[in-house]
Amino acid sequence: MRAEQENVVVGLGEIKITKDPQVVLTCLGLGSCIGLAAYDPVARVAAMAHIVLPADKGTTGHSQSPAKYANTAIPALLQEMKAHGGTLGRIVVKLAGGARMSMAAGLDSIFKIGEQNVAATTEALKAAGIRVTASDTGGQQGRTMKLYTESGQVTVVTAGTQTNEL
Amino acid sequence: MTIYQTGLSPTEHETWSRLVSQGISRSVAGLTEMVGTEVVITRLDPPRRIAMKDVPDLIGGAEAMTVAVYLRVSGCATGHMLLVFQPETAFELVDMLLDLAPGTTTDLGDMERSAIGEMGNIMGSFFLNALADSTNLPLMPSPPAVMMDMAGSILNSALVEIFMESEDLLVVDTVFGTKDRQLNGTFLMMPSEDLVTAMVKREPAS
Repeated sequence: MRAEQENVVVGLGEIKITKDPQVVLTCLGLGSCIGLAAYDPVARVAAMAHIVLPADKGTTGHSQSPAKYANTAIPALLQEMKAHGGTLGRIVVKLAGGARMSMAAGLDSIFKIGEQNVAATTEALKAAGIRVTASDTGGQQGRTMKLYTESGQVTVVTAGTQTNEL
Repeated sequence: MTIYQTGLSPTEHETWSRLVSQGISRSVAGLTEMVGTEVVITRLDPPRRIAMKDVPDLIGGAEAMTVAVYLRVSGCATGHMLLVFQPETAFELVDMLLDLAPGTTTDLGDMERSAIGEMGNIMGSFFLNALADSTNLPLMPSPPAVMMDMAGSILNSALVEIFMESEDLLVVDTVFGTKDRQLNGTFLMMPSEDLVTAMVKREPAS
């Protein structure tokens, strides 16, 4: 393990962007939320968004958190990547999360949000002309996602299992 | 962690704190009865308001495996309750509840989930009953949902409904444990804004 690396946590609704090769962008304990890792291998720009909900229906007014909704997170993230020297055609996107957190009668609609998040994120990426190259979504367990700025490598740990490269 | 002003007036803050504290006392009494050993409150913090982005860290490490019982509150307004244990603690509690030799339970099957769920059910119902006694507000818990997962993932999934309306939330967290301090758990109550308003308005002056 390279000791000089620095974990930077991306909280709910946050987007973080970096060109610092030592930074490892991290979404901890993704449940129904989506971790979106974007990387431009030429400009070596890394960005991560922690998406909470599918779409802004205007109920909260103007959101302070750019990545709260899938439909606003993706344009905001791509714009920031461009501002940091990223080019749309080179950006590689990987997704993790969107789990369905179970299981009691009558609570299904709340727990379906994971699937809706995956669908909304995929759709927003498609609209922006970005293809998802890898994803680890759905299921019933939480995940932690890491994006290594130096290499563009993305890893996912699912609760109670080993680290997998995405 | 970003902590905001609760947004309550001093009187409302006091009312809310008192109602919550009555509720918690009642829940812990219920738990004592259920597990057959005295359970006490070891920490009850004043209500605080935290930012959405910090929610995964609410119980400690966002990545830490935890066992949680989730109960949704409905009725005149909505809210969310979580009863959270470290997995080892949950296993020990199951052994106690099912009268098994200590160390027997090492995972959560249907029977174990049901035992843990019942604990959540007792704590949640007792809490809401105490609130209803003081405020006359009709509030009911959902059936318990038992999960074993990363703390962050349980929290963000359970609170999605609050995030639809807000980017911060009011939290009450209480740590309770057996008197010998061998077994500890955390009880979290996260009301919608409507529920807080309803509670502080309806509580009769005392």
